Amino acid sequence: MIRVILGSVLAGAFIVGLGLIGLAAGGSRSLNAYLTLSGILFAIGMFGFLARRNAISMLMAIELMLNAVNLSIIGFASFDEKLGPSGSVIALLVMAVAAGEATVGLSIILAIYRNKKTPLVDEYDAMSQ
Amino acid sequence: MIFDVLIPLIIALPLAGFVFTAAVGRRLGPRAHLVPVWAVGIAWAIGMVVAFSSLTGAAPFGNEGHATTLYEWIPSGTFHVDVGFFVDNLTACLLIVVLTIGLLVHIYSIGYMAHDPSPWRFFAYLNLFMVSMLLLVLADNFLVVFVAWELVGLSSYLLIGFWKHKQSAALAAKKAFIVNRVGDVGFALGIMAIFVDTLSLGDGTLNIQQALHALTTEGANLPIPIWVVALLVFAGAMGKSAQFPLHVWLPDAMEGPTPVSALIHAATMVNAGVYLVARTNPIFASAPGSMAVVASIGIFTAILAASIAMTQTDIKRVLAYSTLSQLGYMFASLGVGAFAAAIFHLMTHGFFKGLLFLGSGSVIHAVHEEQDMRRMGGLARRIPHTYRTMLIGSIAIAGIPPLAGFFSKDEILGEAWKNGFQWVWAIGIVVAVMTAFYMFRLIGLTFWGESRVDPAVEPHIHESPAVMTTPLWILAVPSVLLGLVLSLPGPPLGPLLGLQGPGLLAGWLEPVFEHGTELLGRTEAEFQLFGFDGALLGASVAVAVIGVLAAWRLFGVNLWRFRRNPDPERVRTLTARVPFLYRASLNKWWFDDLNHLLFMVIGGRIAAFLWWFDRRVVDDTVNDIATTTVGAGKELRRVQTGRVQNYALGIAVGLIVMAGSFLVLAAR
Repeated sequence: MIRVILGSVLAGAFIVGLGLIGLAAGGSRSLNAYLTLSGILFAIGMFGFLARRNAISMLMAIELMLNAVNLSIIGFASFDEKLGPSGSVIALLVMAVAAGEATVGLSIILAIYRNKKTPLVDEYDAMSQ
Repeated sequence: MIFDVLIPLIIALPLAGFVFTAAVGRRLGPRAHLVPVWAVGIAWAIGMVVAFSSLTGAAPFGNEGHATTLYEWIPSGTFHVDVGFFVDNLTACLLIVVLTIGLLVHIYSIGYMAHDPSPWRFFAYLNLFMVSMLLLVLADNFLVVFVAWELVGLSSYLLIGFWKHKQSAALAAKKAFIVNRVGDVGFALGIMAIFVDTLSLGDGTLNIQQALHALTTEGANLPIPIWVVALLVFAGAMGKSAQFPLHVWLPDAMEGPTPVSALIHAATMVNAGVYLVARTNPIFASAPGSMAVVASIGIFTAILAASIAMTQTDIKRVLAYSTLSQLGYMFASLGVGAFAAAIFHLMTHGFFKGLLFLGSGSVIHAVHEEQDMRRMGGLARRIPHTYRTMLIGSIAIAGIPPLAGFFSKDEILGEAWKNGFQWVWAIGIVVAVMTAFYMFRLIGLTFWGESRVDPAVEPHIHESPAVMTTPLWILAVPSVLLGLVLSLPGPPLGPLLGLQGPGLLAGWLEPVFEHGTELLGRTEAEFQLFGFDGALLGASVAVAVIGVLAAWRLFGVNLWRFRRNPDPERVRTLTARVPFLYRASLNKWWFDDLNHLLFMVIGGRIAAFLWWFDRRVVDDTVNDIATTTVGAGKELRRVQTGRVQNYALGIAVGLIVMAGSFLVLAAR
């Protein structure tokens, strides 16, 4: 129970912190705010991918990185008129790819899980042989 | 055309005989000779028709010869080889020699091999040899000639080693094969050189007539000089015809059955080299330097072998060295530009040397496989047919007129002098004395004087059966008459009888050697019987008589009214007076020892060193490189942990480095 509360508090503090950083970077009228958020999200995703041992978590971290990229693309698109609707098109494309990638990734993880009986990637060392 | 069928048939018949006998001969037992002998017999008949049609200039042969293509063998762009046959008068002469002696040897072998456990094998090999030899003289393409060249080498190997249980025979077969290989390398390179040269002139061809024409008429700017081609071809000829320094195999080849010695190592195969040089005469004529090489090696072999033949005691070895010596004459003749004289000697020598070898086989047969002349003697009355025919052969080879050897040998010597090779003549005259001497030494030791035969064998000495003596008598006829017939109506006897024109053989061969003689720029001087030519003639006869008389003095004679006992005491004092020469001759001038030293001792050391080098340096280098690679891989594979996140970390670090360096660079 205490962990859930502590987690919620931490998450809330994190989001508030993010909002503060966004404001400091120039508010919703500024491209920098979006890029900063995107960079932070990407960093979190990368950290998650490198640090988490659970394959499902790593997949989620990948989604986070993809969404960070998407956010920066949308940000660029809305602040640069020359880009116009093509930014949204690219973002949609990335989402489609992300969906596909998640499907394939999950199924691979499930297949490995059936063989290895573990979701922890540091047990998967078949590539070293 | 009928001849387009007949010419391939000459080869096809012995080939069929070979295949048949090799396949089912074992079951035929003592009748195994029937098919091979008849095959060669019919081939002989066809061959004579072809040969005489060509010699008489009948259609389609004419003067230039007739080519017929059997099939296309290698059609490959500019490289194009047909299997075809070419018959001109040179081929015809060779056909007569090869087929006639071949047939007689086949017949003789029926008797000689009667007691052998596997005559079928012998006859199969003999037929294979006939196929190879006929292909060699009939082929119209250098590559096909080369195939035949190797095939005669193979059949010679098989026949020398026919008694394969005998260690010495197996070794002799190997020696013959290996020594021949040395020459064959030269011939193979020569053929390649011919192709390169013809290719540079337009169409690359290995067709003999086209190549000879292309190489000698266009002349200039050959990538490989013509004298190189000539010497390479001559190297092949040296191997097959056993010329110095590749002569060592022929005496050892006498380990084979005697009919084989007669057919292959006296009358036909060893002539292949002479034939090849004669066939490619325009190439040699375009390079006078190579002609001089041919002449020197020929005459040197002649005197070397003759000097060895004077002291050998094995009856077949005497004849073998005599063959070497006579082949030397032929090459000397080719070298001085007397091509027709060389072929003349080839033909007469083929017949009388075939006769002498078959006769020696009959002698050996009579005294129960004894080959040492020191344990013969006094055989004249016991085996009269063999004695008489061998005596005829000896007179023929000694050069006593009017037998065959006199005409051909005298023509070689006379031509040598007239073409400006006086030194060849001088050595040749010495060789002629030696020839007469060693032949009558052989006759004296074998047939005259007291019998030295093993007393246990003495009562069983018997004349050979008619199947063996008949070929001897048949061969005795050309040994007597061939020289006379082939040289008439030309010199030396023609002018005396008031006849005009060149000799019969010289006339036949004129179209073949026309081109070569033209290139040499020789002009025919008129023959003066009572002048210079007569003097040369007299000299040849005189030296032959001297040689014969010297042999009679030392080794005895028992001929009609001439009777004299052998004088071994005098032989001993004479040999003691020239101990070095005697020992040199007895030991064959130490050529076998020289080869042993060069190739077995020194060559063996070099080979051992190379083996060590290969093992320790080459192999170890390769192995060390492999071990190092394996070790390095073992260490490096640790980098590959197989964990996804390690790789991902690498990617992330790379990304950060790239982004960071971009920022740093962009900031500047």
